Amino acid sequence: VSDAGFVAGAWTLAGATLALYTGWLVRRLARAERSLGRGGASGEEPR
Amino acid sequence: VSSDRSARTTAALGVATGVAFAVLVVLGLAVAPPDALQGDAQRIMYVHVPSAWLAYLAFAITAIASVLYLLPRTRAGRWDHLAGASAEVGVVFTGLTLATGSIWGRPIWGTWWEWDARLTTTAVLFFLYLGYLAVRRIGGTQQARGVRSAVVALVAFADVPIVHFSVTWWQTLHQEATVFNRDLDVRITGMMAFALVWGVVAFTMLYVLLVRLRARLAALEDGLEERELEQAIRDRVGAAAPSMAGATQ
Repeated sequence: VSDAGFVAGAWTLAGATLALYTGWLVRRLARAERSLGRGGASGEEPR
Repeated sequence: VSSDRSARTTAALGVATGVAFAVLVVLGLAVAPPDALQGDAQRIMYVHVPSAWLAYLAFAITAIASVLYLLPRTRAGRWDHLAGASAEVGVVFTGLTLATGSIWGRPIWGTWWEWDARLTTTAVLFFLYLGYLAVRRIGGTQQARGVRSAVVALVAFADVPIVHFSVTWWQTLHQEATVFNRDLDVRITGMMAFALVWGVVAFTMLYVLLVRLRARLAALEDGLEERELEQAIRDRVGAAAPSMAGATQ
C-alpha cells in the first residue's frame, strides 16, 4: 500500500465515522422530539 | 421562539462546520506540501492531531461540568447532560485518534501498534471513558446517576495529563509534541501549520455542534423518562381508586 493509500484510508475512516455519528445523533434527536412533542416536556432546557 | 432560534443556530453551525471540513480536505490533501521526512503520510496528522486535542478538551469540559454538578450550589441537570454529552463525543474523538494514529504508524514506524507509553495511556483513556459511559447507564434516579457519573469522570480525567506528558516522561516510540512541547517551541510552519490550525478550528466547531445535539438529546430523554414515570404513577393511582371506593362502601 502506498502512502496515498494510508492517507486516503485514515481520512475516509475519520470522515465516515464523524458523519455516521452526527447522522445517528440527529435521527435520535428527531425521534425524541417527536415522542415528547416540541417544547412541552418537563425537563426540557434551552438548546 | 428561543427553541426556534436555537434550532436555527444549530443548523447554521452545521453548515459552517461542513464548509470548514471541506476547506480542511483541500488544505490537508492538496495545498499543504508533503513532509520532508514522512512524505504524504504526514497528511494523516491533519485529522489525527485535532482529534487528540479535541478529545482532551472534551474530557476537560466533562470534568468541569462534573464539578459544577457535584457542588450543591450549582447543581443542575444541564451540567450532567453536558458532562455526558462531552464524554461521548470525546470517546469518538479518542477512538479516531487511536485509529488514525495506527494507520499513520504502519508506513512511518512499520507497525500498526506498539505498547508505547503514549499509545498505551491513550488506549487506557479510551476504555476509562467507555466505562464512564457505561456507568451513566446504570439505573437509579437522575440525581444518583449524576453524582455517581461525576465522581467517575473526575477519576478518569487523571489520565489526561498522563497521556499528554507520557512522551516527555517515558520517551518511548511516539515523538514529543510538535506544538505543546516542553520548550513551547512550535516545530511546524507555513502552510502545514495553517492546515493544522484550520483542522483544530473545524474539529472544534464539530465538537460544539455534536455536544449541543447530544446534550439536547439527554435533556429530552430525561424529560421522557420523567413523563413516563408520572404516567405510571397516575395509572397506578387510577387503578387503585375504584377498589378503594369499593372497600369503603
